[in-house]
Amino acid sequence: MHKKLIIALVGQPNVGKSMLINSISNAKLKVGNFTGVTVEKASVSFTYDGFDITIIDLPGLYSLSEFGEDERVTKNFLEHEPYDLILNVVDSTNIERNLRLTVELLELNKKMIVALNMSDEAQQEGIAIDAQQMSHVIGVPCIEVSALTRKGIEKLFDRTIDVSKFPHEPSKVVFSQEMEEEVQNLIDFFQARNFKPAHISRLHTLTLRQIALRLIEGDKSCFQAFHDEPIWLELRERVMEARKHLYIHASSEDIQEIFSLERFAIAKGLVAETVSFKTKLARSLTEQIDHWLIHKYLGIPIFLFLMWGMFQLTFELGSIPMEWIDAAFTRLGEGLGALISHEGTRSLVVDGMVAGVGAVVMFLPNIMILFIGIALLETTGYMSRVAFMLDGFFHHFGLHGKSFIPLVTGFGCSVPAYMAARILQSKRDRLITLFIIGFMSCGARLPIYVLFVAAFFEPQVAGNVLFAIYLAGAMMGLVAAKILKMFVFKGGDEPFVMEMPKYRLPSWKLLWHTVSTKTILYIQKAGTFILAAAVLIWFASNYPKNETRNTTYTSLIEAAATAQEKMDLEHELAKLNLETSYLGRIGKATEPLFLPIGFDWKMTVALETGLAAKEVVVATLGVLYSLGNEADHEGLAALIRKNISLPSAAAFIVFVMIYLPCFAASAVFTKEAGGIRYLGYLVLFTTITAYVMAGLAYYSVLFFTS
Amino acid sequence: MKTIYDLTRHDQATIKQVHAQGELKARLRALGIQKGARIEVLECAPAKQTMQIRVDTMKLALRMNEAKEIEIDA
Repeated sequence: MHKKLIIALVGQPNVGKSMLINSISNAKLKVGNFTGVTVEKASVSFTYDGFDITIIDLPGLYSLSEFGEDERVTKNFLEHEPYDLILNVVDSTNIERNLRLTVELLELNKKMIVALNMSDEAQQEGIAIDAQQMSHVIGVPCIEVSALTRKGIEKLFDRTIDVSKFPHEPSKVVFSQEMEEEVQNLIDFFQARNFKPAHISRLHTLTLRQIALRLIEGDKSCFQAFHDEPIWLELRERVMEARKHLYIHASSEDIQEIFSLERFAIAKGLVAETVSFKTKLARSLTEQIDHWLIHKYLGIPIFLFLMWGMFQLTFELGSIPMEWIDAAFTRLGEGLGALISHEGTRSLVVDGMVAGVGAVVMFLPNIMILFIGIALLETTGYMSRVAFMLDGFFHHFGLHGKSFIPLVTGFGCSVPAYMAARILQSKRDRLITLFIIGFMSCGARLPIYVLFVAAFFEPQVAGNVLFAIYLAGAMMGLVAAKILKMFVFKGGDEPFVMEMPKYRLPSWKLLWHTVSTKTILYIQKAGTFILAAAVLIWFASNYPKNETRNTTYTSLIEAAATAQEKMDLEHELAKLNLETSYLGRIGKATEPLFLPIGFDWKMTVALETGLAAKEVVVATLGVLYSLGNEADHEGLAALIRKNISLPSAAAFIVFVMIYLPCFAASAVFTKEAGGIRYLGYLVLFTTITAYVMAGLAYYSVLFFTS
Repeated sequence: MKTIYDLTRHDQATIKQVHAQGELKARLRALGIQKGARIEVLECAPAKQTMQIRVDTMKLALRMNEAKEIEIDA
């Protein structure tokens, strides 16, 4: 029987908590170089040295006395949930600021161990920490580690297990003399009245010292616990007395500020005793890079150029393996087709499975490049800079600079983007951001764009067109935000205060891990969900069969005089069969709705199936256009060009850009927005906007091309 | 009253008082912006809509409105 050990992982934002977990247990938690990557607590379990260890990765927080959504999750956990010890992760390169939280954590009076993370980076910057001395001063073990190189990880765990075996010893951290005096006075009072914390249920886990400190600091729940107790009458006066003394000493009447200054002083003292800095370079590398990347005037053009470059790469580099994959799937279809004699089964395999899945897998290279781009943005620290630069611009549209982070995540996938919107403190900002995340075209929509762009534009300009599509989507999102802010979510602005992380070279391991995880997910989706959808679509487009028509046409075809006439008849039959299939009937029934904006029933059906997932749009088009075109084995792009006019294609792209994201994303949206009614608003909002904008695109392209 | 907003690139100052209230004050305090802290302005966006400052080893982005709430020693 293994012994169980629950470890709460706590630290300030962006100190590498999740990365530490990943390097300990090979888990695959999301890691980025900006604050607020972990928005919900995640747990990882593994065994080490005969222990069943569960690590709970809590969202980062600067201080326990903060009020944000993330902070609440962490604080609630630390105060109310069961765990054995706290693993406090500290960024060695920002040691003083990090130690302030450490001081607050020590006040919780739990077993604790401190991981001095990024010790390799600190060494490079000339920061030397005497870990042994630090352990001695604060009374809990402090271990130098590096999550990146795995240095010290084993030692950290050996010490963690040691700590869990020995009884807890209260920390040795003391406040200023004035504060300690007041605390002692209160403790003396409690003892004189023979008061025991065990008498009050809500306080039974606390020591007298903790209670005294909380009363002085003004902890609400502590006051409430005392409120109905007889001792409160006298206690209240003592607390007031203590505060008055402190006010005089600090020449401030803000008790929170007094405590904060106390903790600062402790952290400062700790740094003075245990850390030595070598003389620093005049300007750090980060500042030199920042000079250009967030330059007053060049910053935004540089950002746009980098984005443009990414879309060029997506198209140029992505199109090479794309052709191979396309060719491979066509050959696979032909090969399998030749093996299967039964006509219905052959059609299912070749036109349903291979065509549907092939149409989706073909875009894997593009998707991978996009994911690499986003991962680079996330891990290097550039993301926060862009948020900084865009804040002024975003502000005009009623958005917060921080909104940029969920929005850019939305280019990858809307699901994590909706979750990332939690970094916005105010509910109003969060809702506006949630509503417009859909305008940032997610990775699953990329295949649709690539397909249509390849069908209608020369390869030389295709990258530009792709960039323009994404830019147009983002712009529409901004305008939508403005409209929402003006008419729906009115009100003042939330303050913008955000940490700018240091630039870090992306670790190849991290990049590979992020991209490979997403790639595998994409392939899995293609192999399961998309495959099932393709089969379903194939079935719906082949049944019900009309036997009388088949026999009539078969005899007509046999009787045909010329080869040309024969082919025409065959096409006519295929077309009629498709139109009377289940899918055809659904499409035909809803076609009138979309006819005004230039969609035929095949496009209409593709959009409808796309509600399940955007990848299905391409799969549907693949099935619908490859049926009835059996004679010619052309690529899907060529078939699209042959069957769809430019205005209709433009309208289609615009519609896809705006309309409702997939099922999964809608579910997450509902959860994050906080109610099913918001989903209703989202459906109305996106559908109406998509319809109007698509109509606009259709008629303006029609006007300019005719 | 002189505030961070009155500073330009590479200026340094000591914070005298934070005038913000409630949540913003707590947020700033958690980030180390409070009485006695040394700050340096690193970059300013056009029209000073946003500023990047340094508080000990941390770099922070602030919006103009917030910068105006932080009084510095003249």
